[in-house]
Amino acid sequence: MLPHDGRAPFEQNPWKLFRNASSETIPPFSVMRITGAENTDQPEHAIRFIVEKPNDDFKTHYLVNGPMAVPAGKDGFGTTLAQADYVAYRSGSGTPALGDIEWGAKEDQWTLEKNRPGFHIEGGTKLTAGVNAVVARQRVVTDMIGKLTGSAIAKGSTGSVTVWMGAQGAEAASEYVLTCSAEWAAVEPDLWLAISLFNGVWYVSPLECPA
Amino acid sequence: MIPTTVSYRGISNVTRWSYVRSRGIVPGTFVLDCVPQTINATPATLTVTFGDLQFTFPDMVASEETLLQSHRLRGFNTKVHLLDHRWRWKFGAISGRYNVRLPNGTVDPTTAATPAQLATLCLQAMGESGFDVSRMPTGMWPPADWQNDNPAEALDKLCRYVACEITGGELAQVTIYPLGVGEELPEGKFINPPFPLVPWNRPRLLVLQGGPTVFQSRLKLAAVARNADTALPLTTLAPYAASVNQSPFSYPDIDTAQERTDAFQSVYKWFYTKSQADGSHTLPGSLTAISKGTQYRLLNTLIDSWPNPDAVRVPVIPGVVGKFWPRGNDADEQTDIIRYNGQFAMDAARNLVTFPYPLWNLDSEGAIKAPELYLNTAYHVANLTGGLETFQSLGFVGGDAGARVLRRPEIFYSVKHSYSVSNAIESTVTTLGQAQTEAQAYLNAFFRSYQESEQREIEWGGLENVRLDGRIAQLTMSGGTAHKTLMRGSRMAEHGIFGPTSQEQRRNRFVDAWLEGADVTA
Repeated sequence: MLPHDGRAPFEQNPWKLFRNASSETIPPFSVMRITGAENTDQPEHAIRFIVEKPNDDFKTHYLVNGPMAVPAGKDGFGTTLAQADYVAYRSGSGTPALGDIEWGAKEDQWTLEKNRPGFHIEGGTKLTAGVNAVVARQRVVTDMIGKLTGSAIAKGSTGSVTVWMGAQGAEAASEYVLTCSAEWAAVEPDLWLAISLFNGVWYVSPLECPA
Repeated sequence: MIPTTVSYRGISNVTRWSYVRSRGIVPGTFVLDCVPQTINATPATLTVTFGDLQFTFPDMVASEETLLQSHRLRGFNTKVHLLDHRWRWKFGAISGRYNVRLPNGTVDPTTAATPAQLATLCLQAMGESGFDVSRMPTGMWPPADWQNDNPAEALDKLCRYVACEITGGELAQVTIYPLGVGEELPEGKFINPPFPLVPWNRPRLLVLQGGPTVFQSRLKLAAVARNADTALPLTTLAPYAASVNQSPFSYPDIDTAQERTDAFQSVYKWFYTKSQADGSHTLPGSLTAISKGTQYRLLNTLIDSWPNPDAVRVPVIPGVVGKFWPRGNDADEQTDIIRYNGQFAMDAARNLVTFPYPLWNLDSEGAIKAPELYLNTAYHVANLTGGLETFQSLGFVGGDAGARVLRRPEIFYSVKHSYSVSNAIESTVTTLGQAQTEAQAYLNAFFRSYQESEQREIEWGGLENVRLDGRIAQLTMSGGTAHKTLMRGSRMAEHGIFGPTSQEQRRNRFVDAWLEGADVTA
């Protein structure tokens, strides 16, 4: 049924045009990594995002494909899920349920993975077009935990930090490594660190004291 | 010799008189020759007495022709022109809309009126009473759309439409007869024997030519597109084939501005009425060979009708059904036929159905594919030269001339096909029977007039007690102090060389009507 404003459900999302720059067909509701944006410079002069499959390049937010599969090199419509809609999830990692707040992107898959940051589950699941989809909303990820990738970082210096993800007590190193500033305190290897984004800079702070 | 007297209020010394009585709504003129005298202009009754017979013509009034004729005769004599009661009929107005046809060809019951009922409305608007419309035919539903029309003109038009004659107006006792129904002329004391004539030029056939047949079925829609760069501006999706199933959002493979504009304007938005739902052009109930989609002349209504809040039945608007992605939130392939509930427009000139946004379907993996769409609508069917399939009914008269065509465009029939979920025709409803019944009523009415077409004229010495009816078309009576009293009657034709002058007819019938704004060309 059409809602009172006459727009079909599909029409009610702020869709963004994107170009599939990957070598694969993007399935419906896929999580897509934004790698750029351009103006089509065609008569329509539309902004077109360039997207690829998620990899180990961490993104604070992603674009989510609409209900249509988009072949490689072709265009589709995606949304940032500022309002809840369907997004694909990997059923092998669990079944999302209302109240789950931590599902997120993962390297080399178009689907969400459980116990990762970025998406709040707001509704039920649906198998549609061969895709397991769930109603969710995206938030911009600016806070995570992690451990140093290498040696200690002195106060006021920068270094590499591996983001850890997973269920509580079962956290594991993820594919993401961020360059962070130890602006306020030196950080030591093997200790839990808080990773936060301020003013466009990732900062790390120790969450535990050295032994 | 039986004496004849003519009396009309205050007129004396009548030397000669004559009166032509004709059917219809034009007042007859009783002409009195007398010495010049003052005429009282108010209406009065004129009486003709012939022995025991007395003819009374009420409400006669001196016509403006009286002074004109008097002037021509330079004062030695006066011709007083008295108009019979029908002079009143050029006044008045009537409004109303009756026998409105529903889209299926039947009469809207809320507007239905028999010829007798319509005639009654007219006669009442004319100020008549004591009339007789009981002989008028039934089974026919002549359309009436009166907007301040002259009621006598409306009645005249109605009677011509249903093959009837208006008689008795001169007596203020209107009786409407079907053409060909009535008495025979009495032989009486004729002085000229009747010589019958059966006209040779009677038609061989009566052809009732009705309106275009209305069909309602499910038409299959094929996606088409605009392509200004080709000789065929309206073409298949071929120029856009590389994009339509992949990216109708931006057509990345189409570079020229014109093609991009055409694509955005038309791809998956424009659909052509290609065929019947099954892909063929087989249309049960149609006699026309159909080979092209343009032979379906789209109507913007359905045969079905529904009552509006005022209980007036109005046509249902066409609809689109099919297998298409309903622009929902999920990516399910639509495998059942569902109803489209958004906006669309029908471009009958191009046999197009257009949508404000593209319609497509998704396959089992969410890929875009062409939708399967059908238009439920009513339409006429044209042959390849553009002639519409129309309702026709024939009646054999047996004359020697050609076919006489009765144009009755309001009589048509409809054929409505309903469909199962599998898109097959499930049932068919037609109103052909009603159309045939009504057509036969008209054919019978006109056929009777040709059955009774023998024309005959007789002249009597003296007056006979005869009335006009559906057979007796005209009666003339005349006499005077130095003239024999004579009467002439004719059957199925008028002999009327003594009828009103054309100037008088025009003045009485039309001029005032013109001033009143009526359509006198009908």
